[in-house]
Amino acid sequence: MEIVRIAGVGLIGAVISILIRRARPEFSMMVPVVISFTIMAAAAPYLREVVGELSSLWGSVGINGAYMTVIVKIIGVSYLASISAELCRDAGEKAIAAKIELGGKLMILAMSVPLITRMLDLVREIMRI
Amino acid sequence: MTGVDLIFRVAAIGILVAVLNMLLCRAGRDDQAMMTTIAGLIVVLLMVIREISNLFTTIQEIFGL
Repeated sequence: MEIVRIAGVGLIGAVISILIRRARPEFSMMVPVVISFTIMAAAAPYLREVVGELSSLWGSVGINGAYMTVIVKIIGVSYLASISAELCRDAGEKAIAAKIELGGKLMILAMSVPLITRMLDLVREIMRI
Repeated sequence: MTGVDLIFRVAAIGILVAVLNMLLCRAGRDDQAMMTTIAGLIVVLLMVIREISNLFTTIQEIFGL
């Protein structure tokens, strides 16, 4: 099953990265990067399936598509930001990781502003009745 | 190329560069040792960057970013 492959690749990678970290510290960041991307490439089809199912589900339920696409985008941004931030932290660069996460948060905030304004309008309409 | 043999390729290059480095250091040519390390690092970086761009494009395509 897929999880066996993912776990196997992860373990092999951990061993290799220890070996390389001792011999050549410069290469010590390359191995985790390659492994985390291999694992995520293996998990990507499942992700694609879930996102596809959800978006079709929302369509049938009749929720406004615009909000859902914003939510999916926010999930994507946080996904990418956390991947790269963790890799930087693994390489020992905590400051860079924090900056990547800060950038991700700002982008999410920027994407959610229309939603906030729409919600406020809704509340104002309700209050007026 | 699939990810798994990329891992082994990166590991092989890393070990090769480490051994070469040690050899050159023993032979007293420290500058060439540094050169080989940098060359090996660049080769590995190019391979890794291609993998990174593949993954980022798939994720963008999945989430519609």
